[in-house]
Amino acid sequence: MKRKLMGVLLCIGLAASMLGGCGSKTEEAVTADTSGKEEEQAAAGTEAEAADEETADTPGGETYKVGFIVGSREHVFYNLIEEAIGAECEELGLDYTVLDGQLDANVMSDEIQDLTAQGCDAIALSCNDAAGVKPAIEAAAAEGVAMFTFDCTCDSDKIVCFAGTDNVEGGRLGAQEIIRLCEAGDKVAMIGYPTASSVLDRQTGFEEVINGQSDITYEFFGDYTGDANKAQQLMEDWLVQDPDLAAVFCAGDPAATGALAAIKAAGADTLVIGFDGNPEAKEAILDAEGNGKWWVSEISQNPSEIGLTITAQMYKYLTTGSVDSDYISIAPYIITAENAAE
Amino acid sequence: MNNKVKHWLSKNVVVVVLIVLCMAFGMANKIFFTSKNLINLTSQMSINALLATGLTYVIILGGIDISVGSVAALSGIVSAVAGLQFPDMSVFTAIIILVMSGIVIGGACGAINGLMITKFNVVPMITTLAMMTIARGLSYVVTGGQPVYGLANNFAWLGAGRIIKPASEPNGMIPVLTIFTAVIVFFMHMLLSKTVFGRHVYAVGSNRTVAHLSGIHVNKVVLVSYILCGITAGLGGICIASKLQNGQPSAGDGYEMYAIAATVLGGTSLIGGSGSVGRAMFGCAIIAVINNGMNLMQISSYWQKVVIGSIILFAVILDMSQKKNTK
Repeated sequence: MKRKLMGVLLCIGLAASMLGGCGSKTEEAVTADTSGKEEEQAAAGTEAEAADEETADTPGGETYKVGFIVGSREHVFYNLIEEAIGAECEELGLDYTVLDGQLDANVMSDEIQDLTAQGCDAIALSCNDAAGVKPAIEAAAAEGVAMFTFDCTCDSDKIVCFAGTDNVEGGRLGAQEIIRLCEAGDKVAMIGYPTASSVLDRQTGFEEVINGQSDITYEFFGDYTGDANKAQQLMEDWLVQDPDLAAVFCAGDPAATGALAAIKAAGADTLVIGFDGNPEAKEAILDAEGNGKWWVSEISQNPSEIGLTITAQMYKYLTTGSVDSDYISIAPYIITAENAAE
Repeated sequence: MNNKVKHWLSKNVVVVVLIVLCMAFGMANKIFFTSKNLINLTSQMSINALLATGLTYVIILGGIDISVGSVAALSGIVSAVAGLQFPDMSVFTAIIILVMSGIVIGGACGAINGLMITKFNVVPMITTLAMMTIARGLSYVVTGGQPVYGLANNFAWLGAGRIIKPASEPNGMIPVLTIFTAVIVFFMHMLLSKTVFGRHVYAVGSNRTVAHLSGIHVNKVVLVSYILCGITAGLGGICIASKLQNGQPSAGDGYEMYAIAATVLGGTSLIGGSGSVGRAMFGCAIIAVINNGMNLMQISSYWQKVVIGSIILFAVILDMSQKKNTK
């Protein structure tokens, strides 16, 4: 009996600690909610002046409620987007909730339903699995919720506006960096992740440019499935086949980390061009005597700009009924040793 | 066919599969059998080998540990965070930091798994499922989702360094990782096959009640086995961190499945009672050869998954039919 009781207590403890882990998320949602409610009360109290104020109030005096689903809270990229969303919503006086889509279409679909049930006027999400969330998006749109996408979109005509990195352009920039760094006759490779639609776009852009280059051979392509260790093995295997591989375009920073480890271990001179613009990339590029000898260039996304743009467009749509454009691409940019410290 | 040959073949299906695979890849791609590639293969199978080594104990007991991939990630992260405190570390300090992180974090996770199973009778699948989620969650909590980077070059010696440096190979020939793994695997193999404790593991796995009645401290054997499994997983994790010279919170995701597959390919029965660390290494080798061979041949990674899955099924079916015949 005692043992059973202990077991139950331990289980409760475990569950509590797990909930504790999610604490920050819940708290955030709650604070956002209460701030919204306070505003609501304030707005109700001063209904007469409300119309003149610069808050996101509907004609009835209610605050607009918006929901966001980020691809995953486990990625720096989405954390930066989320930060920008939060800041912009505070600025515009929107009542907002941010949820973690866990890169899972099923989870995202449920979250779209939840946000709809909570009475959101508009929802923005990153469609990491475009086909998987399309039905949920269309169902929510049918209930009158304005649907927005950021980072990755899906081909539904129900989407009011999309803001995200132009990944095809990013891939082209990667290829152009390779052309700048390589000489005629060089062989190059790419490590990608074609299951993720944004990374597939980078591959499309990269291959479009590199295949049009007659003096550079595009020798290998490999899928690292988001696992740095797998990228290391791919690179190691390629270097056995071609020790003189001149450069590798890695469509994600974990891939670049793995490739770098393999190149260093093999004592090769292959150059690395990364993608994402995460802090470890900048540090490596700046390390001229060390990792910067290989990792020389990075195609960077602009997550803050993405978060800010999509929030501003939602606000604009809710208040005026129109958006600037239904497809806003945020241009990626190149980081090299010259501008990495900025 | 000679009965003896037939018997050997049926007993060593996994060796035959491995040889056939190597021949096939060797014929398809001339680089496969170069010494460089074969040496790379040994280091590529190392991490899976470490995970599978400890798992073999747990599976012989009739249990399972699906938390190994996450425990590996957590240990790797902790070793990287600890490593950041020593920017000018020597190779010796680096190894101490790495190995201690692996043993302490892996051992602690394994001990929690073992205690849950022995003291509170939680089913191993559920205990380790919880540990899988907790350890993965903690890796993200510790790192805030970002990789831990900026480690000294000596930190990478264990995972990426090579020794014996002839003039033709300025970077060295034999990966330290391979030697490290071989030592651990050899120790774990001997512990299982040549010691009283090892015999007890088999006894408990075959029949818990009989083992208990013959005076074996069943709970102690189970607890120690889960701790060993945690430690080897932890050591696998620090090897990934050392190899990549940084701590990735997403490291080892899904590696438990490869480790379980390698163990089962090596003939360890999921019902418990039989298996061997040494044979699990053949399972690891098969998986590594498929990945490596298909990388060399530029076959899509989607197909790699399909092929590995099919070979596991094939090997297990052969194994089962062989066991049926002996009965």
